[in-house]
Amino acid sequence: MTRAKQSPQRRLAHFLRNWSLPRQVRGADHRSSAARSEMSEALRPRFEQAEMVGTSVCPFCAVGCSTRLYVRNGQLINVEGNPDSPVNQGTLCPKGAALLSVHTAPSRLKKVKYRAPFSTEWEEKPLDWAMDRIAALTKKTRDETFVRTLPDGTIVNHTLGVASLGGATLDNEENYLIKKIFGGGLGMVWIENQARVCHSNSVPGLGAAYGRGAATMAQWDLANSDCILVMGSNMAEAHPIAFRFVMQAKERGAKLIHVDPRFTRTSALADIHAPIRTGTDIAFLGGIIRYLLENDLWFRDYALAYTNLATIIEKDFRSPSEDPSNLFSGWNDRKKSYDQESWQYVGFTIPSALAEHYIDTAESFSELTSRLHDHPPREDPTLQHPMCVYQILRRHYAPYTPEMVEQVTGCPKEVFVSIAQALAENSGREKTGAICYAVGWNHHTTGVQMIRAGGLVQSLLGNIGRPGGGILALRGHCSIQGSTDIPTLYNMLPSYLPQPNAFKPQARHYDQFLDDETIPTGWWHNFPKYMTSLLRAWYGDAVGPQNEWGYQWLPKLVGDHSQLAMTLAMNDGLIKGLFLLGQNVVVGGSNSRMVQRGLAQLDWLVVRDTETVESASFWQKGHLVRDGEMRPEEIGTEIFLMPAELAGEKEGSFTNTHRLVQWHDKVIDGPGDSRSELWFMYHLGQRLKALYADSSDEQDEPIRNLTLDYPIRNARGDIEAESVLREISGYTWPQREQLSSFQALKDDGSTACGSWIYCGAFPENDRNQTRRRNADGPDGPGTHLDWAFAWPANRRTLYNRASADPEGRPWSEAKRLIWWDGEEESWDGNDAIDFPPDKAPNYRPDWSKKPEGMEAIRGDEPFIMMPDGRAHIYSPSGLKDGPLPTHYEPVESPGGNLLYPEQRENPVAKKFEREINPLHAPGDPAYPHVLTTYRLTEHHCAGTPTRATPSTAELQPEGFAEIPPQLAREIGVSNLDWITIATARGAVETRALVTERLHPLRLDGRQVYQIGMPWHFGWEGEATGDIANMLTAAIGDPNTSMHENKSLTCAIRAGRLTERRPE
Amino acid sequence: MTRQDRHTLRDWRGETYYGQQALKYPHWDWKVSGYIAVAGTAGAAQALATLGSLRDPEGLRAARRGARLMALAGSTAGAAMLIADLKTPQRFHNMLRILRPTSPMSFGTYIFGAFGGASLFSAFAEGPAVGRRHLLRWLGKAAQLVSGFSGAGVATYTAALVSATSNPYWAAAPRSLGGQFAGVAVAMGAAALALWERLGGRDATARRFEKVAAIATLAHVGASTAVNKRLKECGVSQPIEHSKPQRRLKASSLIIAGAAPLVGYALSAALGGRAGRNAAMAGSCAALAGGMLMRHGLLEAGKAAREQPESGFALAQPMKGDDDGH
Amino acid sequence: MSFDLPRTRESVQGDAIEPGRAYGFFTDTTLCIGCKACEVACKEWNQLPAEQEAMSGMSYDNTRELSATTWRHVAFVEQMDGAAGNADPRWLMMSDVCKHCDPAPCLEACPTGAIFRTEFDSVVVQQDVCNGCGYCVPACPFGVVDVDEVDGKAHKCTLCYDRLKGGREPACAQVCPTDSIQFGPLDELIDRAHERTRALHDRGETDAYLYGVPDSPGATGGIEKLNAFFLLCDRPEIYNLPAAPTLPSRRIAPAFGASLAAFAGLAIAAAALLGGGRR
Ligand SMILES: Nc1nc2c(c(=O)[nH]1)N[C@H]1C(S)=C(S)[C@@H](COP(=O)(O)OP(=O)(O)OC[C@H]3O[C@@H](n4cnc5c(=O)[nH]c(N)nc54)[C@H](O)[C@@H]3O)O[C@H]1N2
Ligand SMILES: Nc1nc2c(c(=O)[nH]1)N[C@H]1C(S)=C(S)[C@@H](COP(=O)(O)OP(=O)(O)OC[C@H]3O[C@@H](n4cnc5c(=O)[nH]c(N)nc54)[C@H](O)[C@@H]3O)O[C@H]1N2
Ligand code: SF4
Ligand code: SF4
Ligand code: SF4
Ligand code: SF4
Ligand code: SF4
Ligand SMILES: [Mo]
Repeated sequence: MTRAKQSPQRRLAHFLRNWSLPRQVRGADHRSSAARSEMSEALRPRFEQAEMVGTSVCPFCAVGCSTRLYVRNGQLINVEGNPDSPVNQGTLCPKGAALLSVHTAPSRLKKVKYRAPFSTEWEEKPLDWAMDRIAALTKKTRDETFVRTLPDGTIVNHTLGVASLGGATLDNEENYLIKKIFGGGLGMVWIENQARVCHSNSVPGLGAAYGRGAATMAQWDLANSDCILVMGSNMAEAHPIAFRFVMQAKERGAKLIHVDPRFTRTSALADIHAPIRTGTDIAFLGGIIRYLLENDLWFRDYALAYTNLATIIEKDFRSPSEDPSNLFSGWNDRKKSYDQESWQYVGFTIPSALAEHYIDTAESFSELTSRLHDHPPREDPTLQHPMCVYQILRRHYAPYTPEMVEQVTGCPKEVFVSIAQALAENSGREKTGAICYAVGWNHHTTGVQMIRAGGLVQSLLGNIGRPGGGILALRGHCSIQGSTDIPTLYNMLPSYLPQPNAFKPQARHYDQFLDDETIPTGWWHNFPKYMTSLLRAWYGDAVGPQNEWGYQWLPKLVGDHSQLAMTLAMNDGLIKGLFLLGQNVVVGGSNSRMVQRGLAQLDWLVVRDTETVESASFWQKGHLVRDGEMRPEEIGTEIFLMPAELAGEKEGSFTNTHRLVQWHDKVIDGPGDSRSELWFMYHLGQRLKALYADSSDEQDEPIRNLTLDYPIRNARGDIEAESVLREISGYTWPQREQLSSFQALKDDGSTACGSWIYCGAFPENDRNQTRRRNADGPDGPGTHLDWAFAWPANRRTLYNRASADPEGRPWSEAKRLIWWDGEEESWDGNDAIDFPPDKAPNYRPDWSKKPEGMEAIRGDEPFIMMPDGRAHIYSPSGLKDGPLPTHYEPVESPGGNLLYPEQRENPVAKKFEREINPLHAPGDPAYPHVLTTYRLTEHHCAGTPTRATPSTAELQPEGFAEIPPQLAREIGVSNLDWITIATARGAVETRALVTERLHPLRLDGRQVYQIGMPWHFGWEGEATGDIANMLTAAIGDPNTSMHENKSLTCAIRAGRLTERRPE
Repeated sequence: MTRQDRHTLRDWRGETYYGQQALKYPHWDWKVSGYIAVAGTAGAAQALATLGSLRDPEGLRAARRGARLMALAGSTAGAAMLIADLKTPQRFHNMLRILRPTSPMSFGTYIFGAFGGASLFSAFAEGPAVGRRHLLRWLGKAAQLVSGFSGAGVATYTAALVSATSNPYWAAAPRSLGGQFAGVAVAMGAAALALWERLGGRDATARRFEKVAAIATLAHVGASTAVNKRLKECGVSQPIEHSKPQRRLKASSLIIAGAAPLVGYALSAALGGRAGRNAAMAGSCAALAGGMLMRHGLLEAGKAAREQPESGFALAQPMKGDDDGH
Repeated sequence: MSFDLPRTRESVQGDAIEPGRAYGFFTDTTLCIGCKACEVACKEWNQLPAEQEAMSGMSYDNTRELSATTWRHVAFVEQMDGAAGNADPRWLMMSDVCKHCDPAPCLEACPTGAIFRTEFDSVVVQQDVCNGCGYCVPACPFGVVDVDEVDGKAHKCTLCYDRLKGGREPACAQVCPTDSIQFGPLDELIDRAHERTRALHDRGETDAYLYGVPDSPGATGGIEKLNAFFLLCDRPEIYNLPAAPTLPSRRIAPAFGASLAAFAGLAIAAAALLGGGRR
């Protein structure tokens, strides 16, 4: 809006041309036609200037909104929601709406910024120089720290000296190359991404119940729900576009319930909001389960047939509700963990469908599971047997009365009962309900079990696999599901294949590995095909039966290599070099001081991001420097800050929260020297291959033999992302003919496949199914099978066999999805069938023939990934903290455990307690208040893009904490005043936002204040504030090492942190 | 209470949105109030002089001359202030792009334009060059007539200019405000001419104008009281009751532009002679200054009222703001 | 599994946006999730600068008000327990915008014709004409239009005049995740809004009412209708809206008339007094 400079003559001419008076005299209306100016006459919309319009996917959250990018002269001129997309139907949330500015922000990195060890400033460096130096450092550190064998001779082939973090913002193709080159090539085991600290609990939480650790339904299917329970998620704020479908359901009469410690923008739209104390969700859900069972409100026909409710469990089993120790049976006090024998189905060991389905078992696992072929699990369909799951369930949840729920959670009894009733009323044959959760359930030491509890409710209500029914895990980043499937995670290989472990018998031989990991019955019986095809994809012709398909080249785990453990290992000097590939760990990592100290210990650090993130500038502006702990001159970390490209600037696929794999096109080049991770990994890989080319060392064989032959498509050196997806999807070897489905995979080396559940995404050489963009019309079935690709095999609703009754008929006409067509002798319906397409409902295994794999699954058992084809209400194996969700208090909480006085917290919770990570004692009066951390609609995670972009930064321009008025009065602060919040880990100053939306709760007869702090803020960008994670601790869920940032205790006082910024 | 009676059924109880203003800040400053005062004075003076010279062409010859010069000065200064007040002054000519009968600023511009043009002519006719040329003198007279007429328009249309807004303080009492504006303009015009005459030593004619000024002042005071009453009735003025602009406005309109001139003229009549002359001149000065301050005070009070959302909301209650109900 | 809800997109994009037909917004605040996507989309489309650097403390509203560079503003009103007699806790959210009034006070006031009524019945400031006189600013009863100090011209929502000309709905309406902002032909919108209000009443949400449709609060005092109208759930003032705005031009006649009459009266008196020389 600059002042137009015009000569008087021009102005006069303009005036005359625009002169309305004559027109007015001639009769034109002075309000409209007469007043119209030249500019109005000529006005055209900006999008008409575009020379090209590309289709992309929003790079922020896991909703996966499709965008249209308008380009002129190689510059973006407009970004809009894609109206064709069934995900967002043209809409966007504020973050997506800001994408034009995010891409074009002047603050974006354009050159490599380099910080020499102990230097006090950044220098600009050429890209090539940086790549060469990084390759050299990587090789050096790897070679110095490589371990070929353990003292006992076990080949581990790994390095603990180099680590990589990040991937949830990246494409599947990029994650694939990271895992392949870093893991399969260099032997790195510290490979992690946001998925660990985001939704890792969802994998066992859902997987142990249903077989796959992913959302069971599509977001748009929520519109078909009759009741939606949003719990452990602030859906309207964190998944605004998915909430669109909730609103659609609501408009059709569905009930919306929000259970959250705070009254949020989701609560504002809900029919019922139930306030609860953080970390008490199992008490709440356990109460629901008890209510359903005691009042006989569950969907009997469904649950009896499709779950293990009738299955009989070992007679020694005891639940914490029965045992005076308040522990499950099998507690081993010496190991401080459970022995799981007493948890099993009577007569045999049944593994779970999880990659880590057996734990710390020194003997061969396959011997334990071999009897699965003998007969089906023992059942009592009358549910009378005292050791049947139903009776165990009733005993276990007996103490979870509405009164107890009120006492533990703080939610008024009446509100609780109204919710239980609403759930029951909206389930059954004619109706279905959905549960949406996110990290309000994940970020706990009992997070896996919270999710399990949600699954249990849905199993009892018959809400899995049916239209409008299911569990929608609302995942975090744009491709956090993808980075879990094709994991840049330490403990898994692509598609949930386990990463070999040095301390299990399998470590020695591939055969043993296959034997152990192959589940005799159910779909996972195909495991060897997937595993061998992966090795073929990674190592090509260099491997075969002669060298165990390269199995020994895979690095083996020697412990917990998760993100929290990684932080400690950096502090300990074990890790020397770190790649941060799009993860701002200084802001997002628990116990940020520990993270910053860890980064300051490294020899070198590569940060790839679009902006200068806190994780790159910690040596300059971080807390160590701020608090006088270290000066930049004392920090020896050599840092490379490399400009990265965003989704619109590169091509590839994201997997959204409901497993939808969506391709985004490259529409423009990133600014300056920005490059994609695909470019980075490929060129780093090639440099390393060159550096190792002449090596004859055995330990260098994997990198030398790694396949890395992707065509380069332009002068910048970008490789063709589709060629990577072709490998992920799978082809025949060596002909490289694309495979249409994982059914075609073989264990003889004749197929190569990078990630078996993605098989079929690229079924023909020129058919990229993830790039399909044809949504169903208004009259179509609404499953949108021609929009992108959903794993597995394009199924939109998982376990959809359960949408039909045991005979194969839809439970009701209103809720039909797939059905058995008796004439055609096949399944038919509106979705891709998640069942063998011609297996009749009346199929029964012939147990006399010791059936294997799918032969052992009946025609009315929908959960094909499970060894018994059933949803597991009771999880006999796979989880470290018990087969049934049990309410344990957060490690830091204000008091004892009313339900289990003898066992306050999860007995197997991981506590990384040490000097730099101190924990508060239960009920410590110094830290009396409950603190939770969360998100705002306006910012994204650690906030880099949204805090640097003016149009979003101004919407929440400063850090703050929400506190209830009563507490504000007690400490003497009013709205907007500065407050200081402290834990044993650190203290932060922030603004007080005093609001009645945070209710004080009654706990055990006393008032408990909960306060909340958004964790988006940091020192970079336009909207700044102190880092909430300065307060949090490294404490982990036993199954996943997920942190507990949703529940801790803290102190609070008026005023600023005076030692730093005097008032 | 149930939700049912939250909006339509229950009365407004003074709720606002965090005390945030509901209206935008009017960007007008002293230039606009100055314009209103100066142009109004000039217009009224020209109108009075025209009338006067119809009744007593000879006796008021000097006054007419003064009025013509005042009109010229007033329209020039007024135009300058108006243009200077534009945020994009190089586009001032767009004022003539269209004629908006709904916009006092638009038709006011034409009135003011007519006044300015005619005033230019009439002043020209006073110039020495005109001499005895009949046609020109005749034209001068015609211009004076036009200028006098449009001067009345200039002095009064500004009431509409101010009232035809959504500012509660300006909009609540259009009729009374009209009276107030006319009163104060006539008072100022008369006072200016009285001063002119006094300074020219023509005390007799000066006294006539002082009488006019006194009557106009009375009218102004009466109208101001009605405005204040109306503002109070609507609840518009209470939120700024004790604010500076409100106090200043009251002081300027009732004391400086009201009581002070009246006292001056009364003293003048009572004292006579030199003291009376001084008292009268002081009274005229007060009328001019007060009128000026009152225009400015009104502008400022409007801005103050805009800071208080209660003020605008009070006016915008059903029935209340609907019209000038008195 | 198909969607049967009214999509503004479908209702508008199907049949092209036709010049000569009246268009507008129905902003249904019961659907608003306060995400502010509308604010951002507007700024992005219109390339408007950011303004705020500090929190306001007004719930989640840091935008505070509409301005020359903020043409959508989402208001947040917390009515939790303890607030004046509220049955259930509520957090009201409402996306405010220029009302595109009919007749439009700002337009009527604009002396240059910079503000005019477009072929879509929207009210637009023509930047090549505006001279920054500022008269539209106090004329607007809703505190919408403002003069920008940087370029010296008046600005406000254009109802995305350029987009409409290109056949596409406004950016804010397109982006809105929950269709709280519905764009469309005004007659259809008004019908839909009445229907919606009835449906809400049937559901027991009896406090819902329309603001700005003919014969409702907001469409008062000579303002016949607001082309951008709202469904609200509490008194207008709660959302910073006047309950009964009036058309300023209605005050021209009384003010000017009274003033002229007073002037005439005084002139008669003056004529009498000034003639004194002959006495
Ligand atoms: N706008 C926005 N959207 C985002 C993101 C973002 O940063 N900004 N991030 C993305 C990412 S990475 C993720 S993982 C998702 C996360 O999505 P969400 O999980 O919805 O996000 P949070 O705000 O972290 O937490 C949700 C809610 O959990 C509540 N909560 C805290 N403790 C408990 C508890 O013990 N029980 C229950 N029931 N609730 C609890 C909090 O009050 C909060 O309202 O959002 C994604 N989408
Ligand atoms: N206290 C507390 N802590 C939390 C949470 C919480 O709720 N409370 N939530 C946790 C959760 S759920 C998550 S997911 C994590 C998230 O924590 P982070 O992942 O650290 O947060 P982001 O800001 O999303 O970081 C991603 C970075 O990637 C960059 N980026 C985006 N696209 C690309 C790309 O294509 N290439 C590259 N190289 N970079 C890119 C972005 O600019 C951004 O800086 O934080 C966790 N931390
Ligand atoms: S952040 Fe998520 S909801 Fe928002 S536009 Fe992007 S993908 Fe959609
Ligand atoms: S975009 Fe829609 S839902 Fe979001 S704040 Fe604006 S009106 Fe409300
Ligand atoms: S709301 Fe104000 S700016 Fe918008 S059309 Fe009406 S008067 Fe004009
Ligand atoms: S500021 Fe511009 S738009 Fe407003 S009234 Fe004056 S000329 Fe018209
Ligand atoms: S219609 Fe266009 S200009 Fe108006 S608020 Fe919406 S996006 Fe902004
Ligand atoms: Mo996340």
